[in-house]
Amino acid sequence: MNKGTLFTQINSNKRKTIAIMIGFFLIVVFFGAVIGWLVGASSGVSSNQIIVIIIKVSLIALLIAGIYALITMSQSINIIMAMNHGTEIYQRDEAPVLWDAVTNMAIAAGLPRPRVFVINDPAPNAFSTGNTPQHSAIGATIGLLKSMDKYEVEGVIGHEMSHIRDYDTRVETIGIALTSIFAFIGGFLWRMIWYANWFDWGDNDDDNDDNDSNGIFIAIGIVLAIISWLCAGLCYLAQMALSRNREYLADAGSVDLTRNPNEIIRALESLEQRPSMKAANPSSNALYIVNPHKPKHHWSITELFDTHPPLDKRIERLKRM
Amino acid sequence: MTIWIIIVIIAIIIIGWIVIYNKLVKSSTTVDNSWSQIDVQLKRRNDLIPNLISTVKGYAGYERQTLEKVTQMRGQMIHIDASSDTSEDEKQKIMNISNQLSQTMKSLFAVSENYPDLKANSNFQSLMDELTNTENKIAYARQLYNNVTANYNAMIKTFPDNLVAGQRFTKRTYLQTPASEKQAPKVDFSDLNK
Repeated sequence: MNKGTLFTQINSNKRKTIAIMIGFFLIVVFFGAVIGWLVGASSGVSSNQIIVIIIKVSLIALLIAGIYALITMSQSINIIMAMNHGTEIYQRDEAPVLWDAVTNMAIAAGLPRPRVFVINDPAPNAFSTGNTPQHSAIGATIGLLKSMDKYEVEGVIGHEMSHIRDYDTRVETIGIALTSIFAFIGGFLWRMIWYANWFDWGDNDDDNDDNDSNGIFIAIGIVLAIISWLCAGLCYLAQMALSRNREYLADAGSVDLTRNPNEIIRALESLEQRPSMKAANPSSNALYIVNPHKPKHHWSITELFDTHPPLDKRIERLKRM
Repeated sequence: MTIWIIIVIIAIIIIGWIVIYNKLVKSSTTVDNSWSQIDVQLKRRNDLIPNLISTVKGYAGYERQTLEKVTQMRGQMIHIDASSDTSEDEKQKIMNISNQLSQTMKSLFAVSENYPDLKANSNFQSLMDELTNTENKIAYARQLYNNVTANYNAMIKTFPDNLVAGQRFTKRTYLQTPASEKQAPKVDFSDLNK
């Protein structure tokens, strides 16, 4: 893992994060402008004032998006841990094997110790989250701690630590937040169109003046809603593809940290037989080491929608290393 | 026109030089930092040893020689003040003593199997737990040190960083495990009947 070159995983993830955030704010401004135009044009004011309204709405949209982003980022660990029913532990006694694994992997990675969480679920699994390696958290289920020996636990935690070190957690967390924003905007616009239909902006007299609500606004609104949902869908697919690649890299990173490939190999082999998790929130599936909600069918097309590569492929790649 | 091109080129070179220099400084500092991580764990082990000695001494006739060896090596480690300014040779010496200490303690624990009273002592058990923990942490810290040293050494040799590094940034040595200590610890039962 040569940290000297430009094209490391870390730098790639940092660049992706910035690109995602820029794209996000640009699209928010675009949507805000269009909404401003819809509002301005349908209320029949002059074109100069329409431009003013467009600018005002765009700025408001930007402000709201900015506040949302700040709150999500600063509270991301607490939010995600709450979504997944994680309880923080503060001392080694509460879960010694997990505590030792996290501390040791933090030393090996040269990072401060992440916050440690335990999830009350009998299915074995673990995940990591956080914006920066300095503010990060790792959670493991009781099922994992019960079924694995300390070497396998160390292998799993090595995988999670590797995600933290490579800034994967930041990209994935932001990806989750933004996909949900697009879905939200889509739903919001769709509802707005329904209300516009009811209130029928403009007056209902028989003349064809500027005060009539124009069907073209509704059509534009529908198109925007569809675009928004498409964006959400594309974001989701992109997230899935990137997530799969990162899982392979994190497996390799675990071997890099533990210097013992058997730890992660044995852990993955024991995870093949796991039941589905109940405590996990589906939107954070990508953050776990193995998908907490096991897919029911195994058609090859559904592999496009998987957050994780197939376990047997992961084990095979590790054995070949 | 050409004067502007020259100015821009010079500006790019200066900025590039500054960026690379800072990168080298950061890498060098990371190496120093990871040494202090090892130091923290070594000191933690040093602090645990007196308690171990006094717990074990209560069981008469137990490996007196091994205990003395442990005490002696701990004494050596205490006297060395391992700050980040320690020279490379000093660092290797410290690690050598530390490795020997690890080996001696391993044989101490192995032989405790023969003393069920000692083995059942809860204080001894928790000390053994903590010391094993610390040994693991020392191993990981050493792994980290060698990792960042490898990165640093590669950085000062690759182009164009080597132009900036010049004589100011020199190669760091890795922490080796000497061949003689790579052998399995010899557990000596000969003085059991003393």
